[in-house]
Amino acid sequence: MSHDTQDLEQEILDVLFERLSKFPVKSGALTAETSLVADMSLDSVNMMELLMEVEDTFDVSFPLNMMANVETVQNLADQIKLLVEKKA
Amino acid sequence: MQATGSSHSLALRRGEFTTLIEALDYAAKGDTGVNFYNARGELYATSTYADLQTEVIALAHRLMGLGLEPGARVGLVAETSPHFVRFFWACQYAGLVPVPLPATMHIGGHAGYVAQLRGLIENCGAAVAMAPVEWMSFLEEATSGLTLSFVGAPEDFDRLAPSSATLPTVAPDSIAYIQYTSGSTRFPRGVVIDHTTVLANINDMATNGLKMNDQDRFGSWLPFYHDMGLVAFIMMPMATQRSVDFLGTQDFAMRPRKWLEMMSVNRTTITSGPPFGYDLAAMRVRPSDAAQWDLSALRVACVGAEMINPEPLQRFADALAPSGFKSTAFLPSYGMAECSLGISFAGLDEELQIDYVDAESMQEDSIATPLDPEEAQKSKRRVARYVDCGALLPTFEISIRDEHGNDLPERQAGVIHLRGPSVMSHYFQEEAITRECLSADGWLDTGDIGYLANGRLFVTGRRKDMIIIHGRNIWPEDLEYLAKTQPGVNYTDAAAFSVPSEVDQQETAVLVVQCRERDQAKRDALVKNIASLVRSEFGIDVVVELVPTRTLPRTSSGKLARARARLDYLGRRHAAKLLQQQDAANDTPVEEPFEQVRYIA
Repeated sequence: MSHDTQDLEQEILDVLFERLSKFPVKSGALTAETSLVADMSLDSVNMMELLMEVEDTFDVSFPLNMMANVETVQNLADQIKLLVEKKA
Repeated sequence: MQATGSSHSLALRRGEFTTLIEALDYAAKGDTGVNFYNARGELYATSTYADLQTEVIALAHRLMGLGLEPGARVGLVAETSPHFVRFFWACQYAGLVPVPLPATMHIGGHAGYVAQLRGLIENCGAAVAMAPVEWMSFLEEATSGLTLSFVGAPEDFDRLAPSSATLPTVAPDSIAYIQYTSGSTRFPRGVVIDHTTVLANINDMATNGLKMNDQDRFGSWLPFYHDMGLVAFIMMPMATQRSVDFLGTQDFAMRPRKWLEMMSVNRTTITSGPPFGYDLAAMRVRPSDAAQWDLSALRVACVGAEMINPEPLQRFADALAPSGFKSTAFLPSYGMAECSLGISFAGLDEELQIDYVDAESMQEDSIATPLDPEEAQKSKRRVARYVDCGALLPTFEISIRDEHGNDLPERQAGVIHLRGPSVMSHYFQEEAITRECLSADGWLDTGDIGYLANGRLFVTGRRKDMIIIHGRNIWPEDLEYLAKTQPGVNYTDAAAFSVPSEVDQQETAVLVVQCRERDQAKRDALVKNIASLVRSEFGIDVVVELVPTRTLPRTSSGKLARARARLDYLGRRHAAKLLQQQDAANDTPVEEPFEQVRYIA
């Protein structure tokens, strides 16, 4: 993994952690492995808000069907990274 | 690219047609049409009804080339796109029955969505299914192993060989579409609506509910698989030769301001949505936007689909006042897919009318005794408030009945029964369920509770046990089913319903689950698993409460008594709150919240 890719991934995770910090985690601390589905109580409105912030921050467009296989914070970061890299 | 205009020389006809085909043939003589806006609020597709008709007829011939039987079902993943509109109308010309399928995705929702699609496709016995390219992988998975004649993306259909046969003659009493009332996989209810039926409703709504004129223009973000999105914004503008502007539902959810911007640019006169939609938009509006927009043309902002308080609407009106939005544009309504769409509308250009009644007499005797709120405060009586959902559209007959089927007088709440030309013929292939709610002489038992006062309808309780969150219908059986998939949770151990949230004015889903487990870690895991299943399948938060066995009330015949389970839950919540307040040594009395106001459509 190149240095740049690592940087990008960390940057995305940092943004997600910051945005997600306002939602309580049901058990333990918020990490990359925290499940957005099981450990956090985001409803679809909160989720849309989060995605909008992601889109605005990274200037990408997040297709709804990409959510299908997202489970953890890391999964979401990976999808965003794909979009950012595709744009570059 | 330029959006289609709002007016043309073609004389306005308010849905007076015998079939939807005749309606599109007429609209194609004018210059109006459909327009699609993307997430950035840019117009990306536009088509006059004339151009649309040409495309639709070409596609109809390709569909006919598949050699399907007349009336065969065509499942359409109803993403907000020009494709859906084209396929919906092509099915009409080809004598096939379109069935809109949900296009909605929750986080981690892959398996749940595929199961939902498959359930609906199986239920309607679809011969053909279409999904936009981005949704194709889900559709392929959902139809794998099923015998359909053709499954593809729009582009795949466009490569089919067209039939050279002439278009079939479609009778007014043939099926125009099947509308699923909820996305339930396990308990689907496909409302069957004929051409005559939906056109009767459109004519009645356009003439009496909205009093449409030849300058009207529609604008919407509602999903095409929702009755309001489908009937009020795809069929109604076409059958009244009006232009319509669409913003995708997901784009609205992410950026609700784009909806307002779109309506400002186009000088939209008619829009609609659940109260939740107006609230979401109000939350995101910046004062600088509101000053720039012009919503002065908006004369109808229809409100329906879920229960609400007037406060969110007031917030919207306040936030958009600088844009020239008038609060009298809000039009409370009552309706349901089983009646095509609209049943009653409040008066145009009126402020919201609220009926204040004695909450106790309502709860104990189902009688809506007027009670002045100030008077109530003095005499320490509780007030319930209900919003005026207006007068019935003239083609409907109404009867409010008690549990024995007797007609009730004014101001007595009972089950709303309706009869008229807009009522569905049946639920698709569900004879027993149809018989339960639709009598031989045409009366529909809506399951909703309400009362009449001075010719106005007040809806006080929702459809049977339906859970409505953010305007979406969710069957309690579906949530209960998810709980029952957990080890140790038996067939009779779960009850789902919704209650007003303690933190805001929205509804919250609750699942009460009987649990024998004593180990706290296992109990916590159970709660977490159930909540996460519900979130991935429905995208909603649910409160899971574990209770001892034999807590859930049952009827004399052993059926789950959800309404009582709900009251019991509210009792426990109230008691817990009292206890908390005592602990806090707070001796001020607990404030009784207002009964929630409901509009339902």
